[in-house]
Amino acid sequence: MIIKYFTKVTVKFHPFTAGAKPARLFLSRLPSAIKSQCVIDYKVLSATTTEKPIIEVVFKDKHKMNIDPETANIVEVANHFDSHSRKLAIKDAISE
Amino acid sequence: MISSIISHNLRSINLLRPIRNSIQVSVRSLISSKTYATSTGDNAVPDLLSNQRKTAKPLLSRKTFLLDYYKHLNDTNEIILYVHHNNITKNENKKIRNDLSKIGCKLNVIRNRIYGVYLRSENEIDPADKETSFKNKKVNHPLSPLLNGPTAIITIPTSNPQTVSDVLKILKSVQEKLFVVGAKVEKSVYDVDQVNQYKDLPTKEQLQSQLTGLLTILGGAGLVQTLESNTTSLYLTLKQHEKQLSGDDE
Repeated sequence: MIIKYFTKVTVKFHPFTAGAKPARLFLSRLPSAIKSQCVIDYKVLSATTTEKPIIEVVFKDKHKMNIDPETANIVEVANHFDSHSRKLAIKDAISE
Repeated sequence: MISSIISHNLRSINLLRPIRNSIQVSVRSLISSKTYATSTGDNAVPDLLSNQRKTAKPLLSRKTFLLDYYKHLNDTNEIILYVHHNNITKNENKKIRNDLSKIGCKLNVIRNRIYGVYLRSENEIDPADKETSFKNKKVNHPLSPLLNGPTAIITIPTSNPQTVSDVLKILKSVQEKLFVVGAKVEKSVYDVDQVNQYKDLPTKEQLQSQLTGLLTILGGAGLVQTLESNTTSLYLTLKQHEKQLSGDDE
């Protein structure tokens, strides 16, 4: 997963459902060194909350993408966000 | 490279030996404190290092040791907080463990699969036993969904809400690097909301004293009478019936 272009990450998940796995693995893929350039926001949902589980990423060019962790596994989540990161990487390469 | 791995393993085995011995002692004391009627039968708690044990993994392997250790942790602690850990640096790790040990708690990073095996045979005498773990293969424990991704447990020896709130304060200082995802309090499974509610409760002793206070106040105002009324009416009815029967005999 390319995390170079992330500026804000929001992860919300229900720990007792299957959706917890991709969400928690996604969180663990963000190294502590990224903290200077990226805000990491998390919320552990419980049975009483009405909020929906979500993984949301804001990129350097303010583009927003999100995915529901209940329906995807970690590979799919990574590919989903990489699709935009790759575009940014190509732009970077051209401008250099 | 290989020699360093071997020396590391040797060192870890030496380090583990005292822990293993202490667990064995505690299990032995447990066995002696309880009187098992059929101590020679299948129900006897096995000696952790005896050759009689038919463990699924080799007896002296790390897997068997960890399983025994998880059982020990669960048997000797009343509250277990399940936390997600995220790339904790060495210094933070040291600091958190230090802070936790000051209030009598302990952080253990767990191996999900082995902990899962323990959970499935939670109430068995020897979860590492080959037949037991095979028998319980399809058991679904309510805590098992928490064993996904990097997981650690914080063990708290006595169920005291104050300690839990202290632990949560320590965790708050490291934000997303370590956070609670669930808990086991005595026998029940709590989610995050319930843990937050629990930490604000007064201690068990306070609640018990409140209840006794309430009962003594109400005792004068007819609580005893209310509790007695059912048995008294039953007694009177039976007495009446007896009288009737004896009347018929005459």
